[in-house]
Amino acid sequence: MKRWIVLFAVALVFAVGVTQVCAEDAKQREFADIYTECGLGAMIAPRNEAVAAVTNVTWDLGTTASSSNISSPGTCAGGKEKMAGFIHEAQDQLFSELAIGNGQYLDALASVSGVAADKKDVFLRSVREDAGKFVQNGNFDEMSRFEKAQTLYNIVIDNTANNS
Amino acid sequence: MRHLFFGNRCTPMRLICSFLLLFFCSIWGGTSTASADNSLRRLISENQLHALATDPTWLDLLHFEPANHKSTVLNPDFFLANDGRQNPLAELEAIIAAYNQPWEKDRNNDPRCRFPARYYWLSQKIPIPDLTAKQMECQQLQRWPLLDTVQSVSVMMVSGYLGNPASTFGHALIKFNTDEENPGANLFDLTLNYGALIPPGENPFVYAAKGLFGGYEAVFSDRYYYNRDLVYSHTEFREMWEYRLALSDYEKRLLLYHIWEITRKKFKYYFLKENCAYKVAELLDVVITEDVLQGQDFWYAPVDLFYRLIIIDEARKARAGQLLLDIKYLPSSQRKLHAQLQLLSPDERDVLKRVVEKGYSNLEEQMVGHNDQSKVNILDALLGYHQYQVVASGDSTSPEVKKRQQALLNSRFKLPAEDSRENLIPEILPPTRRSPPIKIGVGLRFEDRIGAYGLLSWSPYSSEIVSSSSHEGDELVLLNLAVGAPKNDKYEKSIFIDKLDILKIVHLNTLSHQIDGRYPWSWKLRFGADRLYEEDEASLDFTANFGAGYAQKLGSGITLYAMLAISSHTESTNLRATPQIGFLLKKGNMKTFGHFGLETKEYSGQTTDEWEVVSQYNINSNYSIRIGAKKQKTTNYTFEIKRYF
Repeated sequence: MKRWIVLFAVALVFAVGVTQVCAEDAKQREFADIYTECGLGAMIAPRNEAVAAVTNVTWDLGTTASSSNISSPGTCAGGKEKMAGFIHEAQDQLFSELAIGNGQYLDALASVSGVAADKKDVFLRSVREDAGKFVQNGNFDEMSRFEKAQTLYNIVIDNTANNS
Repeated sequence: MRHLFFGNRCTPMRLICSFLLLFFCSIWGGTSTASADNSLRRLISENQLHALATDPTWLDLLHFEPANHKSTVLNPDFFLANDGRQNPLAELEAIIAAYNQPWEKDRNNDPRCRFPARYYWLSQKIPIPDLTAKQMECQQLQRWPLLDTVQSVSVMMVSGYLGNPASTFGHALIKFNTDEENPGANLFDLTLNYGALIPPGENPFVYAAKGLFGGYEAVFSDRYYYNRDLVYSHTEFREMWEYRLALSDYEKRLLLYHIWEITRKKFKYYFLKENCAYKVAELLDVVITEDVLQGQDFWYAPVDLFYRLIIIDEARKARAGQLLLDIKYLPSSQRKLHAQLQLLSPDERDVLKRVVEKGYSNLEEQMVGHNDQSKVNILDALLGYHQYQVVASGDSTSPEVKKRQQALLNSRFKLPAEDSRENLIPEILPPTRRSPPIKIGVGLRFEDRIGAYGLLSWSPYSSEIVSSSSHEGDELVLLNLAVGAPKNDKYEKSIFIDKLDILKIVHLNTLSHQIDGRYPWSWKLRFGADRLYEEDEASLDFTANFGAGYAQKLGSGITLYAMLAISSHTESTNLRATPQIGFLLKKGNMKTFGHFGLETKEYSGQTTDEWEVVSQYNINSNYSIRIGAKKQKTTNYTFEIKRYF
């Protein structure tokens, strides 16, 4: 009997551990999947030397998650994909506004995350706290834009779940 | 059944009769099927059909240009009829015939799903049975959330950007507003932008030539508004104005349906005429009864679209209607930063300057003596300044920039979050509340050698630095031509060209200095010609002139600048250098712009003074009075009355 309890406990711990690992992996895979399937890497990023020439020109025929679903594939028009695209493109603005504690892009982040209006302040406070820990972890400046966006995306997903 | 036709014997003759019977039955059945397929057509008389085929909205939905007898859409799949591109009647018949055809295997490719605007418009003219039910089969269209969430439609004007020739005269796009009460939600509003498809790394000369002569194709692309905001406001530092339209529910839906039809369809792009604003005007023509596009033959500046919207709005208001709900100014991030810096106390500003000059390490030490609120003010301003610097310098990836970002974020995250503050940013009037672009002038000029003569000038696009259309030390003039009517026949036998500005640009960059005390380049450029009077002859001196230097704003009404100008001339001396100092004064409706320089002469090290001063009183946005004086070899004085429209 004792052996069965121990085996059951080990299995339970293993299952929980795997679930957590898989959950994290699932989230990471999810952002990475969105990144590649929806072409986030190909989006026009707000770097002036690249963008200065594109104001009156079009490079993107709307195949990325940055367009509404007139022209983007159905798999890239959903809420998470929309949020991933937004976080990837506007990450500099988002980190800045998170640090400050307010801003138009922060409001947009709350809106696209789907958090209810009455939980928005709590949600943003919590995201700010987690983002602050992430930034202060020491190697933020060495991370790529993809890694920063991925982490912020995961922070938002976690906090959306906690505030739903 | 066999026995009914053949009895107990199957003879060749009976087989032939059977086949003939079957054959005629199939024809009759087929005819019946054809009749059922075209049952919608039977609801329309011939006269009605022809009237519909020439209806302005039908032609607008096809982007059909009567002058050229064809649609401007290049994609063959935009048309159902083989000759649909050239034949609106055939296309109308085809869309009607398609209504009762069997569904395509992929419903989303069916004409009923690909062309919702056409059927929606048609349903207002004739009863179309079961339209709503049929459109429920269009899964992709039905899933498009905008159909039910758009509250209003805006046309956005983006100010000119001298960093890219294609953007010099500004830009126009459409925005579909979905949540006007929820702050931040508008960043996910759909925008529709028309732009040319240009391969990366295109040669500038090829770019210019193809842009002017239709060498590029262009499409409408849909992006979220935040994409545009990040580019226009945060990267190019351009001002925007949002003109919100008063459209009925039918007009909104028709426009949305048409957007569905037209996105990613290709057109020929012409920089001067069939550009972004022209195509936006074409789209608006689908839903706005009055013609938005009017009489443009060679040139359609983005601002023309917005002036036309104002004219339509004023005409409707005279009849107790309206086209425009409001016009909202959206400042660039550069202007927001400038306003934010104005809120810093002198001590806080000193800390900011010290950090910018000495570096971002030890931020906390540099803010010793400041309380938490003061530190918040400084760090929030530094974060805004950091973003500005990244764009202005073009460096977003160097280790130094990344460390700077980390240092700022680190310090700021340690302090409490700040609630949003009302930050009053001085409004810049939209272009439609300033002088319109077309200018004509009538005046008198007195020239040293020939005395007084009449002067007539004209320009299709004139935003002079002394006019009310220039809001900040900028001038953009295109094809300004001044002709003189002679009085002294020693020099002039007939009407003559007095001055020609093919292109004239002045850019006094003072906002950056106001932000961080640094001096980015100010510059001016001119290609043109001036009348010259020598001892015994008059000539036209063609010139190319480029000057670069620095400008500084002193207070609200005075800007000083210093530049070195290099110019080439067809008249001697052919190559000249002119160091010059200049000023721009503003007081009320009066603006004065002038410069004084020493121009090199005869490659001998000698110089001759040259100067020009112009003073203009802007009576209102349509009329102004100008006096000026200029010296270059000879001196002339001018009095002119100008009309802008």
